[in-house]
Amino acid sequence: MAKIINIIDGTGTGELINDTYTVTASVPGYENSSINPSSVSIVEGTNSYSFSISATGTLTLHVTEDGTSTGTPVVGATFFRTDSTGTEYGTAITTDTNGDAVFDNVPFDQTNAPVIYFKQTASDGDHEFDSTVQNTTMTTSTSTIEIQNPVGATRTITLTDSNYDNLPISSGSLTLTN
Amino acid sequence: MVVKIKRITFIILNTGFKKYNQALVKVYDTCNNLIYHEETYNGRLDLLLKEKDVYKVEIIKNNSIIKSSIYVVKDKYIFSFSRTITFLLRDANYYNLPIKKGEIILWQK
Repeated sequence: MAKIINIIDGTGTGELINDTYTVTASVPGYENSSINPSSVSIVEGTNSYSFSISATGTLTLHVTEDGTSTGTPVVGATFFRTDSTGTEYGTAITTDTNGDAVFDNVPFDQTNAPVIYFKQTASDGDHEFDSTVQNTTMTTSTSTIEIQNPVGATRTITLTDSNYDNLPISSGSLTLTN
Repeated sequence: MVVKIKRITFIILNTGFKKYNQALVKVYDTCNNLIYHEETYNGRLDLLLKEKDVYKVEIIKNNSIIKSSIYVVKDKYIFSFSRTITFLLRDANYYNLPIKKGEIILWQK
């Protein structure tokens, strides 16, 4: 006899007696055979059981100054996988010399792919970036998204003498550290 | 024909201690006559039933009921009430990332 537990946002419940069960999964975008554990003993006194499941897709984030595949790569931009609210999961990925950062083991499905959320948390210090939560779905096992990190806007800095209103300082330097 | 009477024990799991939080057991013969109507003690009840006969069993505890049939050949019959179990499903490669939607299927061995 089979008992189906519907999972929504990571949680599901069911009425079960104490016994040992074989476990299978049906999770769109994920490798169902990777459900772990594949057997569970429901025992007296324990009413919560945890499982995990893996995906096999690869999502590449390609970061350039103009957001195109041929643009100047931005090295050192960091990203996290998140949920829809922006909570971070896993370790950060960072763009390499090609401007590529890779999320391994992400879900994909031709017709019913789950949404993948991510956000950028830093660039290289010389480029602007969008820190809001982004999302995508993958219909094939590999996918590349182009992301723009434009060069920081040109700003005009003026330095004047504090005791002679508007008298410009003829030479010198200012150092701004972020 | 000789009718053999067998002493059997019902063990009801997930009941309380001694006479507290016990289950009510009702046993019916094939003609729906009520043969036993007793509470368990320490989750157990001893009965005398006809060997190799079929009986219907109802076990009631709080608002839950188990309905079953037994064929009297064993010395012991164990019954268990189901309870609500919570299952958590996470992405194996992104620690604690909850799986948005899916199903876990449990098959009794």
